Amino acid sequence: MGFSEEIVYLVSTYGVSLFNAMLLTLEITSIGFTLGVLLGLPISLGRVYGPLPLKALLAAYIELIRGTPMIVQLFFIYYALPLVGIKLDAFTASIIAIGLNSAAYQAEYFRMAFGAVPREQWEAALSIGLSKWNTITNVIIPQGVRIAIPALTNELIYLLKYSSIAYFVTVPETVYVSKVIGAKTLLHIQIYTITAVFYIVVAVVLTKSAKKLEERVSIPGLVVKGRI
Amino acid sequence: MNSIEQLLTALIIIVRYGLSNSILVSTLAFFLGLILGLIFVFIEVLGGRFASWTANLLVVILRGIPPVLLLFTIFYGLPSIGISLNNVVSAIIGLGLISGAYQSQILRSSIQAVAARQMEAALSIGLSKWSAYKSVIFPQALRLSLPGLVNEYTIILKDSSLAYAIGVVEAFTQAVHIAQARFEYFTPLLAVALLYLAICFSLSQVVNHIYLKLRVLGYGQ
Amino acid sequence: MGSDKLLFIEDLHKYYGKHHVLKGVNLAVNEGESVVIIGPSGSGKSTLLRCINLLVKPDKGRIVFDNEEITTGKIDVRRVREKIGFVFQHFNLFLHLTAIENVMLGLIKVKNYPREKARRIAEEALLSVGITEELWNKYPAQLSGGQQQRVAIARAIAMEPKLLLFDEPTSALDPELIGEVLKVMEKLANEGRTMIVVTHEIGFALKAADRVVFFDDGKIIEEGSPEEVILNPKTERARRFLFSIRELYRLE
Repeated sequence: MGFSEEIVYLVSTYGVSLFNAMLLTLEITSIGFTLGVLLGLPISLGRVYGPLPLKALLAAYIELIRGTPMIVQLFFIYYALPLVGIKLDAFTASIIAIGLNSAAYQAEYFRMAFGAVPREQWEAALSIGLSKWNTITNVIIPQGVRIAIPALTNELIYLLKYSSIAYFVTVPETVYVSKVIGAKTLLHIQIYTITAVFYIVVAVVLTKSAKKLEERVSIPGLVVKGRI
Repeated sequence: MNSIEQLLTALIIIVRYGLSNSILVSTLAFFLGLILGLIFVFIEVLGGRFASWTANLLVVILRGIPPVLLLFTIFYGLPSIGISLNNVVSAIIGLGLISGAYQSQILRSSIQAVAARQMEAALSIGLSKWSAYKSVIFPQALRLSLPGLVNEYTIILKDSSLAYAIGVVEAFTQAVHIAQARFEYFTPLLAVALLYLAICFSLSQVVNHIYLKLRVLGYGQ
Repeated sequence: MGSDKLLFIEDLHKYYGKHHVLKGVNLAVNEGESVVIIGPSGSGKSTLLRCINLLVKPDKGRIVFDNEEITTGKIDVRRVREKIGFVFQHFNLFLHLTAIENVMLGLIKVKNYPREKARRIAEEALLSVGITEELWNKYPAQLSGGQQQRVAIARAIAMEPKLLLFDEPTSALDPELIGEVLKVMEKLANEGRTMIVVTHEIGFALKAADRVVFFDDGKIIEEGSPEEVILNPKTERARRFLFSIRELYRLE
């Protein structure tokens, strides 16, 4: 069989399982990313505006996550947590590991974005009598989140690729299923090409959509300096 | 054995039998990536349209696929077209290729940052474009790239744990083997986590130090 | 009427590290008065203004505003700031909000007015500074400097403050836009607002100020009516400073 015929063969024979696996990859990516945002934003606020003990604690958490491989964190959650009674299935463990990991990185991106909001915005807000909390929610966060969009887009693409660590705990996502198909058919290069195309197409689509989103929510007339 | 003893023995085993491979793979992959990154940048700056376009496509592919997938392609896939590489070499090449794509970005942005300020000055004292790059832009760009490159090494080091997928016995794999032998995951995982943490944290301090030094030299960002 | 002191600053000191920025400032401002502060850059004028609305904490001395001592450290800073309007040199409009939203934010979040009431007040304030309807939905980056500063003034006066502070409001503007902002400020002064204006625009001081203060090196050097201080300065330092400024203006 020629290369293209082999590809067609793989798609027709294993199309369904591949499709399901890809769906799973997208699920893991999106849930993990969302967790990252939901945790990362409060963490960044705590880092910047919280009391000193909280700042130190959060800084330690971020250093811990950024200083160890994601797979170590996953194995911890999946294999070591049962020791303290928390037994999770592979899918949940993967999502939580990815979410906690992403939260640490996103917290940093948010923190830098809030820092990029000009200090004078604080002065102006305080001078009309806004409280600290109101200033943060009404002036700093709306501007900071827009500044953070490029970094968050990168993070999303990163998670798309690294959702594949779920392979190591035998979640049937795209890389896992590809390997199984490859081992079965010995058509390794062919199947890996198919999945590579999948990842790249999704990445390109995500990047383009993020650009569109960035344009739509951008503040008219304002060109943001200092990209992260 | 109490837990501290277990932790220490795990640590010793990992360091003795696994860490050297982690460092070997990471360092060789890093330099492979550096060479590739420079090649990519050269092509972009000096190459024709077709070459630039191909290089750019390669970068997109390498930055878009999961590292494990590339490792599988090299280790399991290449033999079918006659290229049989052992797992360590596969890991080095896989991680090196991906790193090359990222390093090309780091180098390119440093070059652009320096050129924006220095190209006009270099040209107006009579240097040719090539001389300008060679004597003025590249030396500064390399300095400016240092923090990003050290950071990239840290990333490669962490990704080297993925070589577990093709059976390379590096630090993480070693930790897993200990865990499987003892039926206990917490201690060896903690040991290897501390190990990675120690190395990565030290490297990030180095990065901060370089940043400060660069600031002093006037490369404030 | 003359003893209705709205603001009373007594022996105010401020240090930035070792740098003694405010060296014992004494100033009293009556209700309805417009005071213009002139002086060389770096003399501490901006710091003085920021002490009044407590953006900066003074190290020594006291400030009594609206019959309340605000430097005790036990007061609700936010409540004080509500009553003082501040106009910045660089406008500092909220970049992510439209002009009218900029004015409405304080009304909704600080004064807790319902949206419709906030909108009405905001529209009035904007019209009073010459910002007409077609500009209300524009973002700051789409407005000229003069327009932005007038929106900033509207934002300040919409809060119905008892005191208005202006920190070199026209220094960051292109020359042809200065006039429109000064006109608004003159109007406010003529309306009887209590205001303190730090500025280099001595033309404005001559026209609209009730009192002029010459400030240098952290202290008030000279004080009096505009004609006294600007046209007939008594101290050597004031004379030197004003000579060079007047030279500049005569050449225009």
